[in-house]
Amino acid sequence: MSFFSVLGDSFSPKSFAGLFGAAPSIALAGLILAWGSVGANTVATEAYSMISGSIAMLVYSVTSTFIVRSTHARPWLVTGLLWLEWLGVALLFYWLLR
Amino acid sequence: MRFTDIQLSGDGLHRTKLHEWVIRFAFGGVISLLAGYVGLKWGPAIGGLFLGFPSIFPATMTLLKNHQGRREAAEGGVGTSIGSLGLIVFAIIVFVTARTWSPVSSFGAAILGWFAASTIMWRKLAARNS
Repeated sequence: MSFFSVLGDSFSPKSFAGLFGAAPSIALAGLILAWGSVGANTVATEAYSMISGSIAMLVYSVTSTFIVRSTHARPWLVTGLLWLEWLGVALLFYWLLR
Repeated sequence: MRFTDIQLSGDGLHRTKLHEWVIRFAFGGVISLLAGYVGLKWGPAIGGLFLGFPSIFPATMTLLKNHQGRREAAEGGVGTSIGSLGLIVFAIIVFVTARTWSPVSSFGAAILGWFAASTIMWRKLAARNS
């Protein structure tokens, strides 16, 4: 995660640097640990669910960006509250894709 | 929204204070632990959802807004939205290859897939906006 954060802060313009805000840093750490402890089948299962989580991340980041750009709301408050949106969308797609 | 040529510089690194790095990494660490706990308690199908959780996005948006303003924060958010599409590609590649490829090959291909998909989509958006 440190590596992707440093990369993100090193690039301009900000729109390109922002790509690294969705870098698979935590996913890599989790999947590597899972592979080592429980094996490839579990990793595949987690990756399939991750598709839903990633779709939710897309919806979340679009919504957050729109609100931060359009209002004077504090980013930490907006992005924190919208975690609920992420959870709802993630669970919806989890149900749709199962 | 600026989509100028990509440049590498250390300005962003120098601008970020130590405690802001600590906050960012602490967030990510807590979310990693949470994802692991959820996976242990409710199984990998639910735990896998949290591999796409926007853990560092709040800290990053806040830091960008405080350092450079609302417009820059929004630009970063657009980039993260595009990167999220790449994250979907990452997850699909791991899902398809995990059972038959080695971990190094599977994750390597997935990271390349994330980067390629994100960069291509960013370029397409840049071309449309230029």
